[in-house]
This record gives sequence, structure tokens and C-alpha cells, in this order.
Amino acid sequence: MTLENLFNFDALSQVMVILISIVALTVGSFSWRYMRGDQLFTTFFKRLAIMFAYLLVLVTADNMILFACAWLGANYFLKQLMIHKSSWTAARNSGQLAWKYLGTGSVILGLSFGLIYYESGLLSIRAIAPLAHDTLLYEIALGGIVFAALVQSAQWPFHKWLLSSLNSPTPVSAVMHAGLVNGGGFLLVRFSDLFVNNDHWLMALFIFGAISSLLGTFWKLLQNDVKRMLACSTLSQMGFMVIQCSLGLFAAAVAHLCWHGLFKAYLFLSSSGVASEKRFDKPLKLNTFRVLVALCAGSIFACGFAYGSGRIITTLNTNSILIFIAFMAGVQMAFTLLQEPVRYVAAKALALAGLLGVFYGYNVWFIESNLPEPLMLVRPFHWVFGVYLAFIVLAWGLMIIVRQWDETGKLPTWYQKIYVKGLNASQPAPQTVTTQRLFYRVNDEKTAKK
Amino acid sequence: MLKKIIDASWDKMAPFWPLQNLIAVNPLNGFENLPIEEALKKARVTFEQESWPTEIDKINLATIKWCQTYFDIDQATLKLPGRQDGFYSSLRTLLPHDQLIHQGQKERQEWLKNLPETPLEIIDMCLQRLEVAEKDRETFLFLLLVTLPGWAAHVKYLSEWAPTAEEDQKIDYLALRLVLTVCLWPKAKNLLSFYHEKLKNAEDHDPRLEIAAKHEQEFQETVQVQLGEQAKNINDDHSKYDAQLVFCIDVRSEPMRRAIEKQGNYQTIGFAGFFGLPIAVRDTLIKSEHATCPVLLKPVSTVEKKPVHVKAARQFYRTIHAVKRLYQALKYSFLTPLALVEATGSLFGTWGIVRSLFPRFASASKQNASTELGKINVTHFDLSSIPLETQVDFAAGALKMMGLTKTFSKIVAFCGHGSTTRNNAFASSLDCGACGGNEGLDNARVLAQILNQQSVRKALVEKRITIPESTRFYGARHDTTTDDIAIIAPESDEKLAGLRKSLANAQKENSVNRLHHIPLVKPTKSMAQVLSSDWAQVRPEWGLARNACLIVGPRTWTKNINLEGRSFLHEYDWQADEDDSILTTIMTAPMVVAHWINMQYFFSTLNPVAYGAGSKVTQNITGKKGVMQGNASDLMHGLALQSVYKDDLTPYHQALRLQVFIHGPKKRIESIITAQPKIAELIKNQWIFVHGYDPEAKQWHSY
Repeated sequence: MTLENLFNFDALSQVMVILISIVALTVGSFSWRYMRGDQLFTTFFKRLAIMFAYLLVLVTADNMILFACAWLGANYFLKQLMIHKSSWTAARNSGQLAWKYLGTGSVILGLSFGLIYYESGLLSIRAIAPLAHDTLLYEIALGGIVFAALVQSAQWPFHKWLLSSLNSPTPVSAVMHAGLVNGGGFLLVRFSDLFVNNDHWLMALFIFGAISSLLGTFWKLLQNDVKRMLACSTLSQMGFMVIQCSLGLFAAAVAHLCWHGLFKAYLFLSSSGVASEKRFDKPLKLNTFRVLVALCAGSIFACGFAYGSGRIITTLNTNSILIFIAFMAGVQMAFTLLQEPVRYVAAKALALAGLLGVFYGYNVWFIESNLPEPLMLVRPFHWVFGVYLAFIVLAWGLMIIVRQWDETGKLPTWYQKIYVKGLNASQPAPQTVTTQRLFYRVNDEKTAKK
Repeated sequence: MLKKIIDASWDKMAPFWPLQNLIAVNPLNGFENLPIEEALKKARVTFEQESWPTEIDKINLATIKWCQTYFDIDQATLKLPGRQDGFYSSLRTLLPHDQLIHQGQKERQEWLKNLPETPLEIIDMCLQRLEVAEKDRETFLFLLLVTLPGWAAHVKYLSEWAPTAEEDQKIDYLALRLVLTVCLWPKAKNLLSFYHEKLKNAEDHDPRLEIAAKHEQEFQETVQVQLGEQAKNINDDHSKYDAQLVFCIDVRSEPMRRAIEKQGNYQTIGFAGFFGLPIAVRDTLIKSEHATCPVLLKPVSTVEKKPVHVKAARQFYRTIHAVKRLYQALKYSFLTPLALVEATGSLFGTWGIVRSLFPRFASASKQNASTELGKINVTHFDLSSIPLETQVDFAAGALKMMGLTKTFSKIVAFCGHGSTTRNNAFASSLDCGACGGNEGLDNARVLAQILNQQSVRKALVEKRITIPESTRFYGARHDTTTDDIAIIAPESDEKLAGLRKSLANAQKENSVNRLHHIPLVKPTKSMAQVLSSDWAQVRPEWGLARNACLIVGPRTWTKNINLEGRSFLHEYDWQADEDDSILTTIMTAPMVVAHWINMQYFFSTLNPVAYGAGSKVTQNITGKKGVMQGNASDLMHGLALQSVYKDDLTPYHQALRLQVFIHGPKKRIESIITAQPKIAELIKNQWIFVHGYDPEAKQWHSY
């Protein structure tokens, strides 16, 4: 067995290696100062280094045994990093909860690989790709991979570990949200050839992703502490990444996980400064003129995005969903800009929409263009996608209305019920909360000796 | 009657300020009427209780959740419905929907649906349901507070100290605690026996206090010997100085002052950093207002701070705010964050690397850009809201208190202090306590502006203060993180050239000395700048750590002693204090503030979890106003571990109670203590130690 057989240095590996290096550099140098004086400083860096090593193996592995081992290893060290000091019970519980999910995911993944090997007699992912994958065993194996991916990316209903993971040191959260939760997306992309013709698993992925992205966004808007807000946001972003995979737009999913990873890592690392950040986004005030301008701006923004990322706007397929999201972003952007008391604000908003749309598209293209063509498998539009978009636009509209009602202090009972339900559903697992102040531990002599 | 019991239960709690202006307080503020030994005993079984009965966990879990939502300032996008009606009212409508509290039980749900309208009624009702006897009520309510002390401390702040304080919050909070208790722990009465049992078994002596006492003794003796020797140097100082610089009493001023005095013929003076101005400052640009005076005072007037380059500054802010608004509108919405991260991930990624690897470059470029674009640093104050008479009173009062009434140099600079740190939740704890946890620069500039007016100077002559024509007053900013002292005046001002050079030299000297104490940092000339600009830095400076004493006397008394940055220094000339009023003020205001700061550091060091905020490594800011640990926890009041510890196990701060050394007649100090029962209590109960050096008998007396 040569190195060539074990590894696959393709375009996807390269993109992932670059992403991991950037995150490692940023978080590593940050932690070098941030963790100073911590009892487990050395242990922390050892674990971090080992975890990054596993990640590098993971993204370049071609051999499934290697892949599964790296997957398990990275997750195990993530758990260790999450717990950090085991004398703090809540942190220990967080780690164990995550390990319960991620460990199970890893085992299921291993079993699926076993099935694939049993069926094909091959261990190389590259070699399996061109085969036919329509036997029942393949179906089951793919189900296992889907499960592992959903667990890894903390998709509903396997999200609890992520929302309970914030007992981790801040840099660990940064690494986790920029790195390991993306594992699900990466896994799906790596095995994309096995999924392309499998409509039902892709549809299943779409449904889980859609629910996660909807719930994640709603919960995020309710959160009062910065880290849980970021975790809920990750849930929704990962949902979108899974959706992109389910649409056959694997390259777009890679672009999303890269940019989201860097974005979220930054927000975690800078989360100690939020107390001085004011909120400026007051509830929107709308009128017909603004709605019309916003619709125009949305269209321009969407065109800019399509142009920048090299997409065709006129055909209805899965790409249209991304274009629609760009459209919504343009609309929201214009609504916000139109609240400014500036002259020619509408014209400025339209111009800005064009510019930013192209910039956005270009960023997506920047990653996509580095990936091979087969990772862009545009699929036909399905009515379920439409239902999802309708739902989310409805939620968006409701949010605007609720925020306006809230100003007056009069909110209907049904909303109060939803609010409490959402708040409760997004709480961390009770055993991971430090319910008594002294349960929190920081400077135990015991930890030092360990 | 019930109201009285509630108030009494709250009396034992100390307030906790939000992160925007962290004011130091003694976490055992409510126990100051007891000898410290006894207070510590009570605190050990309550605040430091390692394991309350587990039934309290569920109650705390629910309390934390609802406190997080109600006390949020600006984090959540969809806020608590009905919060405008108050804490109790909003929860009264929401609790019936809370599955985690009623747990699907019909009866409980019904009960929650029919909670009485006023919180007092429900408190009474719950206490009856829990079968808490009349005589135990106060203790029981206190236990409900102290089982989650941080959130209670914050409620205490909101109801008694906040700018818009609402007394009701105390009652509302207890109402919530009780409703949850009735639902989740019907036998909560057991908490009382638990507490009494623990109290009975608690040791009377605290070894930590003994250790502190030993160090205190050593410290006190060393300083007393030095001060005793230096007493002969005290003279009526009429020499002509090139410049006079007035600093805050803050312990960080002391080494800075020594460094400056070494540079040339400069006099430095110690005075409370709000420079005697009980004012609030309203920034007309960002439309924010805050009091910049000690929290013990209420501001009497509001000064407007206006940009000089109105157009440029306004344009700058408008643009910045528009960009932020756009970013936030896209971030906190449905669907749009998906596009936002893809569009801006590259920018955040790059900026993250730059900030991590080249923190100084990152900060400097951000700073330069905003100064260049907005000229936002160029501001002036509109004093028209303060009548001339009041201005004269402020000026005379301040000058008398700082002992600056006879000889004036051509340059007199008031150095307000502030810190410069990045990504630091505890940033305001490094700022000026005398300015209500804000920077002192505004006060310094306002006082300088007042004193530079001819009309004020004319009126001051009548109060026997004659300021020479040639004297000019300046405001300056003493940056405690970088030791930079920036005088607010045009660069071209030639008169200041010499002083500016001296200040630059003093900066280098002091920052290198200071950096020796920051672990694992190379004490180079530029390192302080690096620490100050680094977003990953958890110990950018030591703040007031190692504070140990307050010295009240003339500078000539302390000038030749290296006090190692452990001493608050307040100017005092006993001969100029004819009616004891100056010393009374010092002992009732700056001394109390110093005591609060001292106790905050003392207790955060003693037990960094019970009284401190724990490690910064796992902190999580909630509601933009306080820190929790991890997923969720009590609101962690007090200082972060990194503010007082070199590493997880080694304290940097030495836990000593404040020693006060006063240069003044024995009789005067005695009579002031007798006239101020609060002060007498602090001394008697050994929260602080006061020593007087009688200038005539040339002897030390302890009180």
C-alpha cells in the first residue's frame, strides 16, 4: 500500500487543507496569549495539535479505514478540548454529551464503510465513486453516512450537543464552529458521487437541513447570551450547507462551509467585546415605495450574485434557490438602507445592491472555481423546495411584524406560546448548566496534578 | 410588614454593576455592620457554599433562563414579550406556557394561570404554601437570594443604584424565585435547617484572614517606618515648578508620578480622578449620556460634549452606523445570514489573521482610519448648563481639596485616566472608579476649561485663590495600559514641548518597570502597546491589583519612597484644613471608594469563583451586561481570575485590607471618626485600618 493509495490530494483536499491551516494559524496564535496562565496550557496545545493533525488526515484521506480513524480521532480530541478541565462537572457533561452523539456518528460511519467494503471489495473512495450504487446494502450504507453527517453538523434532531457545547474555552468553540461541525458537509461532498443519483436520501437531507436552518434562525433571534446565539446561528448555517448538498450543489456547500467557518471563528474569538457593541438594527418601517425599491434592489442583487458566481438566472433549477436567497438578502439590505435619512437613498441602495451582489457572487465563485465540475450537479426544481422557501419568507415577514408589535408591547398569546416554546427548546441540556455558582471550577489543585 | 422583611433580606446583598461601568464594591457590603471575622463565617456558609441541596438546581436553572431574557439590554432580536410591563407582570403571563416549570401538570398550570396581580401578594401566598414561619421569613428570602448570588446582586444594582432605579425589581425577583420554588421544590423549607446546621458547624476562625493579617502587619510596619522617616521632609512647598500635574488617587498613578518627577522640575498631586466635578457628560454626536462622578454622588449638571468638526464627525458616525445597521439587519434575520457569511467570510477571515498575528498593526490601522476620517477626537465642551457661580464653586472646591491654592506653574495639567484594551469584557474595571467606571478625561478637560475662563478666575480671587495670568490649565489622558499621557492641546503648542518630552521618557521608564510583573511578557519599550492592542490578551495590565494602602498627606511625605504602585495617594495639608471639612470629605468619600476597590480585589483573590468572575477562558457575555460561565450559570460578579492571578493557581494580588495612613492631628482624626458612625463601624469591625501620624507629637496612632 503506497501513500498514493491512502491519500487523495485533489482539489477538495487542497481547499480544505488551506481552510484548516488558516483556522489553525488564527486560533493557534490567538490561544497562545488567550490561554496563558491556564493550568492545562500545554495539554490544551497538545490536544489542539493532535486534533488538527487528524483533521488534515481526514480531508486528504482516500482510504476509508484511514478516513474513519481520522474522523473518530478528531472527534475524540474535540471532546477532550471541550471538557478542558474535568473538575468542572458541567463541562465534563458537555463533553460527554457531545461524545455520545459524535462517537455514535463515528461508529455508524465506520459500519457504513464496512458495508461498502463488503459490497465492493474496495477501500478507496476514488475507486468506489464510478461504480453503480443501487443495491440495498449501498442504500443502507448511504443512510449511515447521512446519519453521521447530520450528527456531525448538529442537525435537528441531533442538535442538542452543539447548543450545550459552550462550556468549552472560547478558542475551542472557534475551532469547532469553523472546523468540526463542517465535517458533515465535507463527508457528503467527499461521497458526492454516491449520492448524485439517490433522490430519496438527497430529499431526506433537504428536509433535515431545512428544519435545522429554520429552527436555528428562530432560536438565534431569541438568545440573550452571545455564545448560544452563535451556536444557534451555526445550526442554521449548517442546515443551509446540508441543503446545498441535497440540491447537488456540492461546490457551493464547500464555499459556504469555508466562508462561514472563517466568519464564525472570528465572531467567537471576538465575543469578549460584545458588551460595548450597540444594536442599530431597529425594527423596519415599510411603505409601498420602499417595498418597490427593495424588490428592485433584490433583483439587482440577485443578478449581481448570479453574474459574479457564474450562474444562469433564467432556468428554474436548484441554483434558483441560491439566487432566491441572494434576492432576499438584497431586499433586506435595501429595506435597511432606505431607513437612512440620506438624499437619493433609493438610487444609492440600488447601486450598492449591484456592487455587493457581484462581490458576493465573486466570493462564492472564488471557491467553486477551484473545485472540479462534477461537484456542481444542478438538479431539477422540486415543489418541496418551494414549500421551504415559502415557509422561510413567511417566517421573515412574521419577524418584521412581531418586532413592530413588540415596540407597542402588545403581542398575541399565540406568539407568547411560541416564544416560550422556542426559548425552552433552545436551552442547553440541564446537566451542562452550572446551576450553583460554586459548581464552576477553575483553579483546583487536583486538576493541576492531572 | 412583608415589605420590611423583603428589604431586610436584600440588605445583606451587595450591588453588581453592568460591564459598561464595573464599579468596585465589597461583595460583603451587607455584612459591614459585623466584625469581618463573623461576616466571613456567614459568607462561608452562604456565598461560598459549595453544595446547596440539589433541589435548588431546577429553580436556579429556570431563574437563570428568565433573568437572562428579562435583563437583556441589547442581545436578543426577539425580546421578552411584555417586558415593558415589568419583570413580574411579564413573567406572570409567560410562566403558564413554560412546560419546564409546570411539567404538563394541570393543577400547577392552573395555579400559574391565576397568579395574583401584585408580587407582594404572591410572595405572601408562596411563603404560606411553603409553610415558612413568620420569624424565618427574612432568613428564607435571604437564602433564596444567596443561592444565586450574582443575579441577585445585579437586581440589587438595578433597584438601588441604576440611573433609572426601580425599587420594585427587588420584590419582582423574589416573587419569581418563590413561584418557581413552590412549583419545583415544595419542601424548600428544608433550606432553613440546612443553613442553620451549616452555620452551627462553621468554624469561627478563618485561616485566610490570619494569613492576611500577617501580611498586613508586615506591610503596615514597613510603610510606617518609611513614612516616619520621611516626615521631616515635609515642608511648605512654595518652589516654582515647570509644570504641575494632577493625577487620580488610583494606585497606578503612583509609579507614573515618580517617573515623571524624575524627569525634571515637576510637581505631581493626587486627587480623586473626577476632579471634584459631580457632572454627567452628554455626547451630542452619539447621543449618549453618562454620569462621570463617584456613584456615591448624583450628578448636579450635564455638560454637552460636541465635536469641533461637526460635519466630518457627523458624516463619519452616520456612515459607521449605517454600515453596522446593515450588517446587523442581515445578521439577525431569516435567510439573509446565509448570504451574509458567504459574502463577508473572506473579509472576516483576513481580519482575524491580521488581528491574531499583527495585533499592533491591526489596532493602529483601525485607529488611524477613524481619526483621519472622522476627526472624532477633536471635541469641546459646552459649559452653559452650569451657572457661573456653580462653576466657581466647583473650581474652588477642587483646588482646595487638591491643595493647589497658592503657587501655580505656567502649566497645570489634570490627568484623568482610562485604559485601552481590545476584546475585553472587563475593560471598564480598568477605568476610573471615581468617574463611575468611565474614563476621567472628560472631567479633566471640563475643569481645565472652567479654570481657563477669565470670569471664573476673577471670582476665585474673592475666594482667596489668585491664579496668575500666565497659568494655563490643560486636560490630559493618562492611559494606564500604555502609560501614555496625552495632553489635549495642539501639537504645535511650544510651551508644552518640554513637558511632552519628559512624559514620553517617563512613559518608557514606567511601562518597562510595569511589564516586569506581567507574566511571560518581554518588557520591551513597545510591549505595552502590543498588550493594549491585542484582542487575545487576557492580562493587558494589572489594573489596581496589589493595592494595599491609602496615604493622605502632602506629596513631600511620600516623594522619596518607592510605594510599588500599591498606594492610593490623596493630597492633604492639615494646616490648610481649618474646619476639618477636607479630611472629613476624604475619609467619607475617597477612603470609602478605595475600601470598596480594595475589598473587591481582596475577595476576588480569596475565592475567585464565589466572589470573582472565574476564568476569562470560558466566559460568555449575557445580555451585553454580565458574564456567565459556559452554557449558563449565575451572573459572575467580581473580577476575572486573570485580573488578580498570574496563573490559575498563583495570585498576583496580595489579599490585604486597606491600611490608611493620614498625616494629621490625632484629635482631628478622632473627632471625625466619632462624627461618622459608618466610618467608625468599618474601623471597629476591622474592614479597614486607620493610622494617623501626628505632625506635632511626631507619633503614629492607630484607630
